[in-house]
Amino acid sequence: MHLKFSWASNCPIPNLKRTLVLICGLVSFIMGPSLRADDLDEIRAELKKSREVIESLLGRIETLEANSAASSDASMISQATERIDYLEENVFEIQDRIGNKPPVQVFDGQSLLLGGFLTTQFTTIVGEDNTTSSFNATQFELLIRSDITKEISFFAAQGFLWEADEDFLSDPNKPHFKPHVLRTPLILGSVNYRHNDHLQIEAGRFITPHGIINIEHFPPTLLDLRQPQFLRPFSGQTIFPNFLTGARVHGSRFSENGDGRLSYSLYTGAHVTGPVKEANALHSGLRLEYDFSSHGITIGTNYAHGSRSNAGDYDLVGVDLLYNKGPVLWKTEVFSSFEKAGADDRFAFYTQPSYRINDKWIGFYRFDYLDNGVLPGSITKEHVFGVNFLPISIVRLRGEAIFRDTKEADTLLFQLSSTVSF
Amino acid sequence: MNMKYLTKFFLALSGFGCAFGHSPAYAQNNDQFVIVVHQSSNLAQSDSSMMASIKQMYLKEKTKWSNGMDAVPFDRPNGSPVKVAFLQTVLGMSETQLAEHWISVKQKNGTSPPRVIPSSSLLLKFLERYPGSFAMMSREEAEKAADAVKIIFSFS
Repeated sequence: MHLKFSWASNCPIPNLKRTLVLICGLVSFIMGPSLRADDLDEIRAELKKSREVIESLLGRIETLEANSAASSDASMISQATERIDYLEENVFEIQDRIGNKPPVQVFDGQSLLLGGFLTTQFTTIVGEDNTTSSFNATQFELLIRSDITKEISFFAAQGFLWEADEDFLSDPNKPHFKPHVLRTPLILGSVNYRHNDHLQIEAGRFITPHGIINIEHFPPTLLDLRQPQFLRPFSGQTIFPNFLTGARVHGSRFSENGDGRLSYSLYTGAHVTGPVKEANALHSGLRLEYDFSSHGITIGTNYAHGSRSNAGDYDLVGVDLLYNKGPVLWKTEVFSSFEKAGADDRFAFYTQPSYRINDKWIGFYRFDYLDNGVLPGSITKEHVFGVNFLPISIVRLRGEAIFRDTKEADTLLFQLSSTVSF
Repeated sequence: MNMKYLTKFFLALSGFGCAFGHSPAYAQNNDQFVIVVHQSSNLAQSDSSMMASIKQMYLKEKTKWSNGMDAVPFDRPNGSPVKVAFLQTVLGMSETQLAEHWISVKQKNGTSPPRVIPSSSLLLKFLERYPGSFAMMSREEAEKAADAVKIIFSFS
C-alpha cells in the first residue's frame, strides 16, 4: 500500500508524513492477508478520513506560518515607516525654518543663540494731592550667547528701554512721572571660562552676585516688575551696585550624596554707570550660598566693600533665604551697610511669600523696608499685593497694588505689566 | 499643656518631617522607566546619589559626571509617559516649574534646555555619538537596545 501526499514536496512536518507512511505500510503488511474485503474497505475509508484531517491540519499550519511571516514583515514595515515619517518631519522642519536662505552662522565659535523679551508697563499713581497714569515703560532686551569653545562662552544682554521714572521726591504730595527717556545700556556682556564646575572665571559686565532678586534680575521671571527698593533705580547702587564691570571667580561643589550644593562667587569691579568718582573706585565682595536641594531651601551670605560718590567707603553684609518647594516660593533678603566718612548706615529688608495657585496663577505679597541713609528719617515701606497670570510659560501678565508709606506722604500705585520672552 | 494641643503639635511636627523627607526611587527592577548611557561608556551603575546627580545634570547645574566626563543630557517630548514620570519622580517639578527654570537660566547666562529627541532609534545614535550623554526611555525600549545602551538608573 502506498500513500501519496500532495504536500509531499514542502510538508512542514516531514516526520509526521514519514511516520504515517510507515504505520500504514506496517498495518497493511501485518494484517493484509487475514483481512476480509469489507475490513479492507473500512480501513481504506478510515485512512482516507485521516488523510483529509491531516491535509486540513497541514493547510492550517501553512496558513498560520504565512500569517506569522506577514506579521513580522508588517512590524518591520511599520518601524521603517515610523522612521521615514520622522525623517520627513525633520526635513520639513528644516526646510520650513531655513527655506532657500542660508542659516545664521557665527564667525568663530561652536554655536550662536539669540533670545530676548519685551516688557510693557502701565502705572497709575494715586498721591495725596493728585492722580496720574502712564504707560511708563517699554523695555526690549536682546540676549546673545555663543559657545566659543567647549570651555569658553560669551553672553550679552543689550537693552533698548523707553522709561518714564516715577518721581516721589520733588513734591511728595504730588507724585508724577518724569519725561520718557530712551536708554540703550549694555546690561550684561561677559566671557566665561569654565575650568570645571568648581572653578569658573568671568570677565566683563556682570550682575553683582548678591541676594536673590538681583541675581534673577530679568523681568520674564520676576513676580513684581518693580524690584525691591534697594535695587532701585535700575543700574544704581542704593545698597550695592546692581551691575559691575570687572572679573569674578565662581563655582559650585556638590555634596557626596548629591543632596546639597555649595556655591561661591568672589568678584571685583567698577560701577561704570556711576559718577566719575565711583568709576574710579573698585567694589569687591564675596557670596557663599548653600542649596539644600531636596528641602527646597537656599541660604546665602554676602559681604562687600566699596565706595560711593556721595558717602565714601562702605562695608556691607547681607543674608538671604529662599524657600522653593511645591506651591510655595518665599524670598527674604536683608542687607546692612556700614558707611564710613560719617554717613548714615543703610538698611534694607524685604520678605516676599508667594503661592502657586495652579500652573497659570501665582499670588504674592511683599513687605519691603528701606532706610537709604541719605536723608535723616528717609525710611520707605511698601506693601505689595499682586497676582501673576501665565497663559503660557513665556508670557507673564502681572497686576499689583502697592501701598507706599513714607514720612512725607502715602502713595498708592496700581500697576499692570506684561512680559513676553523668546 | 493641654493634651489636645500637644497631640496637634506632634502631628504638625511629623507632617513637617514628612514634607521635608524624601524617599529614594532608584534601581528598582520593576520600574517602568530608565536612564541610559551608551554601552561603551565607563559610567558606574546606579548608586544612592545617582538620582540627585541626574537631576543636577539634566537641569545643567552640574556639567560633569563624577569621573570628569562632560554630561550631555537629551530630553523626550513633553507629555510623553517617560517625561511625565521623570518630571514627577526625578525632578520633583511640574512642567510649568521646569519651564520657569529654563527661562530663568536663559536670562542669566544663556543656558538652553537639553535637545528633545522624539524617536528612540535616533536617540540611540545620539547616545553613541556623544560620550557622557544620557537620556530617559522606557525599560522596554532599553531592553530592546541592550547591545547599545546601559541602564544606570531606573524610576517609575
